[in-house]
Amino acid sequence: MDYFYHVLVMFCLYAILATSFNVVIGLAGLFALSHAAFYAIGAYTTAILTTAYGVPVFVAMAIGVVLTAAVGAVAALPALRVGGHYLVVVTLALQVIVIDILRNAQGLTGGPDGISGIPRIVLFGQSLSTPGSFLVLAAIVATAIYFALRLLAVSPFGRALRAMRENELAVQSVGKNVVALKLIAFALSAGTAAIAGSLLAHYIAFVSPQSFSIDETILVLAMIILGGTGNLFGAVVGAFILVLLPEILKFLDLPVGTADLMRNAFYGLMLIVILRFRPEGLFPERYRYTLPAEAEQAAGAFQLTPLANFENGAVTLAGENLHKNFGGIVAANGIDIELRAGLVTGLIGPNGAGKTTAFNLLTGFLTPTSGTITLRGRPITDRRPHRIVHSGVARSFQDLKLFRRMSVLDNVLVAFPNQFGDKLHNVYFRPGAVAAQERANIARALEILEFVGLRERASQEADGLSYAEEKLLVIARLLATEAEVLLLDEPLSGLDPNTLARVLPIVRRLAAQGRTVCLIEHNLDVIREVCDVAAYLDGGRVLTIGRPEELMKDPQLLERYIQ
Amino acid sequence: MTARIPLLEIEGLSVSYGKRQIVSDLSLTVREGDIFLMLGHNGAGKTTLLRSIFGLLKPSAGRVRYHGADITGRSPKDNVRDGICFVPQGHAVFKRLTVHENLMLGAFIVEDKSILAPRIEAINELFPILSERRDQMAGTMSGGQQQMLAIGIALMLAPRLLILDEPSIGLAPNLVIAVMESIVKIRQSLGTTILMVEQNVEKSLPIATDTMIMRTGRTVYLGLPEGLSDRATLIQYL
Amino acid sequence: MDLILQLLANGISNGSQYALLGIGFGLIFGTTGIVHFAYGPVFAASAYVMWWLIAALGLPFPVAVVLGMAFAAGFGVLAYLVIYEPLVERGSPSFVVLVASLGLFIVIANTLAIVFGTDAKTLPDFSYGIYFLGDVVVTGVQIAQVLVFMAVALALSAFLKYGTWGSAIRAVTDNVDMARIVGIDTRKVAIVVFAIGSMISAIAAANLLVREGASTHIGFFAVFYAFIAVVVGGVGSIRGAAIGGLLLGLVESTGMWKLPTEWQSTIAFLVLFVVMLWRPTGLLRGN
Repeated sequence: MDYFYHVLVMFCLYAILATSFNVVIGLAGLFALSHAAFYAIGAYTTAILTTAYGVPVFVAMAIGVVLTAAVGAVAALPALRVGGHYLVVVTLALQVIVIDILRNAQGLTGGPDGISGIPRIVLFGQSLSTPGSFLVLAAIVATAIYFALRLLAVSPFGRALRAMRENELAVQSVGKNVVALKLIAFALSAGTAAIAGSLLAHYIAFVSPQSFSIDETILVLAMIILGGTGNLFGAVVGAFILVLLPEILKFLDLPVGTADLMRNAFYGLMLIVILRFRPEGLFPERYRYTLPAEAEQAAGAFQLTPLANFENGAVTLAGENLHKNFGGIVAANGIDIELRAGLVTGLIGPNGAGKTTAFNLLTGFLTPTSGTITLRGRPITDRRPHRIVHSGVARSFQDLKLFRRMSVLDNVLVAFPNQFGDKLHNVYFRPGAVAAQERANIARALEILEFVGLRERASQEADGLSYAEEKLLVIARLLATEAEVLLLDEPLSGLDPNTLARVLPIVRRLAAQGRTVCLIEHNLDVIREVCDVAAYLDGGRVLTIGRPEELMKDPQLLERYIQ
Repeated sequence: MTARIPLLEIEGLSVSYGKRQIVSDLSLTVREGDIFLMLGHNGAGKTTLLRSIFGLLKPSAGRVRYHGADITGRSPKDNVRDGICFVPQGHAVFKRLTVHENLMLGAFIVEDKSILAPRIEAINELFPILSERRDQMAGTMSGGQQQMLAIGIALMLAPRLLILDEPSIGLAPNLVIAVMESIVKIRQSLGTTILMVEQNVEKSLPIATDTMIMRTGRTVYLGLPEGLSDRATLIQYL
Repeated sequence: MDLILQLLANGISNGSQYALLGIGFGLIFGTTGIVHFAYGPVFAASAYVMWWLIAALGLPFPVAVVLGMAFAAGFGVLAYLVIYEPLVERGSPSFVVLVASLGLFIVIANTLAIVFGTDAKTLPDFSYGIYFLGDVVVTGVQIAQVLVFMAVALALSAFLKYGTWGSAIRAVTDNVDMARIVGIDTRKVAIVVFAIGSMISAIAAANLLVREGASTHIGFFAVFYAFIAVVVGGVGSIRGAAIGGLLLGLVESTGMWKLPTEWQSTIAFLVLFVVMLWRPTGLLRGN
């Protein structure tokens, strides 16, 4: 019976590892390979503190968790600048280094022999020295962690993580701080792995480097892939299967070493087979969901939030003498532009004229080589994109950059400003406030979707929309930011007349209610119809600015543009 | 050009990216000796159409015929062997290789490299800058020079059909004229048929023998360039 | 001073081995974009195969090396055709291909341990000379390691520069789309680079077999060092991988000046971490 309990304890520990690893891999989309290292730091910290320094068990475990979270945050530093393969190699190196330290720092870690005689956990006067008694604790902790991480996954914070996974630029364009998201995701995931590590140390009363090799990271990865990346329940199932299945090997008459090797080879084989035939895993991440009925009922007709103090025609966002060079290429050559409240400004000009560059500069996605950007007279030149969104300037992208593997509703929800649930401490300590705001936001998001004509698509995956619907969703997402200055990069191109007839009034209505609107457009008819002011750009600067009719009377300009 | 024999025939071609249809049921015929000009806004589906003709994308429906033979979905490798060359958009060169290496790669499928010397000479005559920059890394040249090299790469096979995707994009006005002139020369000296996508209407329309305007994956105008000479008509289609 | 020269010599020798591993891995990664983790176990498998050919069948060393290279080439190509290509064809994200390569990595590594056991396999009575260059002591293996690396690097550069396949490989590395457009069969190019890259790893495996024999963990460290060499030097550049590997060897070995030897990979990691923060695209490929 003890054997059976032991297997279940191991399942609990791996369930913790798999769910926490899934936060980084599945939710945040950051491919790191250092989870076993975090597991190790947690285990060794408590082992060292309790055996060598006599620190009480729970204090030592807590220190281990905090320390590991800090190391996790450090490991995230390269991830702030590099992605993909580079992150893989850096985290792999971290994994190697940690094992190296465990092997080599003999005095501290006991070297290859590890540390033995780690005290058992004593709870309510009872020492948890048998698998049966430890199982109770392990199961409670694993369950608590599962629900805690699940709460995170469905919270606005988790939604922001998934949005970052889908598109890092777009998530900044709706005001999220990707640096903070990455650091928190890494630290949280590492700290949780450390809980599993410290449990292990006190469970078997012994730690050694062999338990935390790269194979361990790959094993946990296999659990996630089998269960379903991005699905925490899937990770638990994956852990269950991969802990239990190899136990069958025990019933074959194999030497101990061979059984371990065969088990590892089996994990590898399973990874390959799953990726080949069911890459989404047994429990694929779910993108659709049923809408809460009360939110559906609460949704009324969409009204723009009235602006506190707006003065029609006042300059809001302005760029002065903006230059941008990439190596030898001049993308902006002294752009001067002023956008005014209540007016729709159109940017026209040939490809490569610098229209999108102007947007990138004005919204912080590019830092100008020289020049200044002001919002209502205050300089915002060096602000990062998410801060500029917080100041009330939002933009869309020519290639849309939707969060494809998320629901249509989530695409809108993620863009609301000032969400309590974007802060992790609110998710856990003010769940009521977060839930209340979330209900209100869902109702508001449904209003916005109704307004652009996507209400019936709300619970579907964004990837399944038609092109016109995608463009409408981009506008919906932009509306959700509540920004007073809206920059739209080719919102109308490629739209059929019906959709166009739906979008144009939206643009006009935004302006009528005091928003500053600027859009890039090629179609002169549309410019004439929707814009109050048109600016003609060429060669990285604004050549002319004026009323569209006047601009189009200029034969020289027309000549250049029609070219 | 009196022959007017159909060289490339597209019938009911549709192309999709995932669930999104980019080109819808599109038909056109390019005749031997044509400079066939395709106009349209960003996102109209022009590039997608060219790439699916050349076999870089698989169409979801419809036929592509070349010389009467069905070449729908045929690989670029086989198209190149059959005299079809493609110059994609935006400085399509091997940036970390030299100009000469770039040109030689244009004739990658030619086994006997000794026949290439006269072709390189002809290309150098068309774009003299390429012989001056023979051993320079392509990526270090200006945009205009890279564009000439990109066309040069395609000419290494003396193609029968040359497909160009916005050859003038990002070029200064005088260079645009130079590129358009070179296209006329290519057609004259090599007898190459040209299928070209352009946004620079002003400079490309005068050299075209046939025109099509696309909007959201469909044809909105198909006919002689003269039909577009009136500015108002043109604006209406664009 | 003597110590520094000695460490420098050791660094160049070890660095040559890393550089050799790096150019093989970098050729595959740079051309196909596949992080071929199983490069390590393929390297290890060829070491075991060569050991078996020599120790059990009594074949002469050069014959065993040639057969080992052929084995590695076949193994590498098989990995591409059976595991990677179907995934790439389907348009899987690079993350999926990477995880598959990790899966393949542990399948091969553990199978090797089952077949050959976990003890180290060394060559019987293989002797090599010891040479004195001034006060610096070097072994014949160390010298051979440097010479072999130089020979392979030169041969590979020549092949890439002058061969038809070489130019096709460079074209694919530079711009896959354009390579396809000029009529290059990109699938064949992938097969060729998997073959050549794996053969290079087998040469490195022969070096290791002579120096210290084959054991269970050599595969992981081979691919780990190769990966670091490539990332430090800049992806897509053979020269970068070579310089990255040499640099790694030198940094590691000069670190020994003040630190005990077991801290080698610690130093390698620190170098990598700093390089990543300072220049994410590697040392050679700026901007």
